[in-house]
Amino acid sequence: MKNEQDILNTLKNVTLTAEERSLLHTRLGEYRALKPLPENVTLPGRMRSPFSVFDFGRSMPALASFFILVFVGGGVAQAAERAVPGDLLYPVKTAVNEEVRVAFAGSPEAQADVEAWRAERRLEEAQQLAVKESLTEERKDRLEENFDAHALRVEERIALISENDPVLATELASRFEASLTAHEAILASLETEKTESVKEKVRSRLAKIGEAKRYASVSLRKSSDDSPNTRMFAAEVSLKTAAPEVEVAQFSLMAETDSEDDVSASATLPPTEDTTRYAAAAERMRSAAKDALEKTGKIYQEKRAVLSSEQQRRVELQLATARDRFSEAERMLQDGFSSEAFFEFERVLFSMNTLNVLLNNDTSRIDPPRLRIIEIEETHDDNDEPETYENEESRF
Amino acid sequence: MQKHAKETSFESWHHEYADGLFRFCFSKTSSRDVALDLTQETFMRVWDTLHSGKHIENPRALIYTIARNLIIDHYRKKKPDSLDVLHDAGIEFGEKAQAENSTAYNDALRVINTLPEVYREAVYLRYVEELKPREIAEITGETVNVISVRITRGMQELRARIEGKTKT
Repeated sequence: MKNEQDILNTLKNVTLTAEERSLLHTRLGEYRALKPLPENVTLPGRMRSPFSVFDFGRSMPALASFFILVFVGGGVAQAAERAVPGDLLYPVKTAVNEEVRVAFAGSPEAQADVEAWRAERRLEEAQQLAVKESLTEERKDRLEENFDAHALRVEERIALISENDPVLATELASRFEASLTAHEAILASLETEKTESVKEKVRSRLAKIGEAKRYASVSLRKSSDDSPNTRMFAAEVSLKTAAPEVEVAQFSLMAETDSEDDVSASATLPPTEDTTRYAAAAERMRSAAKDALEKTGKIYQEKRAVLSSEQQRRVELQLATARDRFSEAERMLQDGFSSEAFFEFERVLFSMNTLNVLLNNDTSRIDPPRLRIIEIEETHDDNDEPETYENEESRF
Repeated sequence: MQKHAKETSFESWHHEYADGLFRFCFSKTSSRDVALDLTQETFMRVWDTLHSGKHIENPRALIYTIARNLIIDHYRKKKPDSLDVLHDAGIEFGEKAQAENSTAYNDALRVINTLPEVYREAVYLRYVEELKPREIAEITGETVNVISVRITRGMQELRARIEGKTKT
């Protein structure tokens, strides 16, 4: 018995024998035969809409008729996209349109995207209902429940992706986090007590997605290191999720710097496996941030006409700040500060994704509150810590 | 999820988790027969959950949660005293390991059984069953941070015990 890893590996050696497996299979088969699943299975929680006409005890025929309606009725599915809880077409939106997208989402990444998209739609619906003053308690409860379920699935998919592709996991988590942040600001701007509990839900999910992002960062550290100590490292770092700054301190070690004083020294160090890996990770994050910058710029040009001059000024300021950050991150990358650049690119990605959601929000309905949202964003930006590498990282 | 999809899911869970679940039950009971019965009972309850129409978010966490509860029930039925009393008295699951497996396995089990129960469970589920801290938290009803602390400290204790044993 050499070490703790040997002991744990030894414990993995127990498996079912062929005979036991066969016996288990037979017994479970008998049990399943005795208790078959009902034919008329109602849609489980993740698919059932609280506002569904299916609630009236006609689940399967109603579902079938909706499908017929969609295929025969041409634009019904498209019309349903604008539906909110309480509308006749809302069940088509959630149980048909969205489920079709779910069905086509094969990879964990696509699944995370679809579930994030659905979670965001529930928040948008809550916002729209609140503006129309028709957010009843029942509708709100159902929307919160569905939002929670979709968000949970996003976190699960991200956790799954973290195992194999931590950079992608970080990117997905950042995107979802940005969207939730924007929605939280929008909900706050509505200034109604009715959305208070929705905001709480969003905050709670924000904390969870932040944790998922940190976990992805840890996975990045261990991604190419499968030594016995790796798992120990992962356990130790996950312990620090309650104290992100400690984790970041650990994380920054990947640039091979032992202390803040040694920051300049790391640039002269020969490339190690860690620095090479981080350079590659930062390159990927750079690409994602660049795409987000370009996309946001385009969206802004499209939406510019509906924004007031003050709003335009604020958005342009945010875009300019993001571009500066992006350039700074590129310099960091060139100078060999790969882990710092990674975080900086991620920050650009986060801010641009947040702005995207705000710009895509329905301005005709909540234009005055949006002005406040952009003010919030700008204030937040101005209040950031000085742009030293260390402080930039402390966000994690 | 329709009937067929649920049946397919159940089969894939059975295929994927049966070995790990059996191993988990065996580590707690040290009897292959009991472990097999507990594994079977766990899957039956999962089937019942599907039958009731409930949506299963995380099948692995659900499976281990059910198994954990069944093991506790098993000991409650078997022993007159509560588990807490047994723990206080220093009696641990699987301590009276029967020589049903290899010497190496029994040695490993003996070492890990010297850890306090809370550490042992967290370390076992993390490194033997390879569950995520989040899943272990779900199974045990603790927070992720508490579980992470237990994993780290459990591994430190395990290492210390091995080193102590080697020195002696």
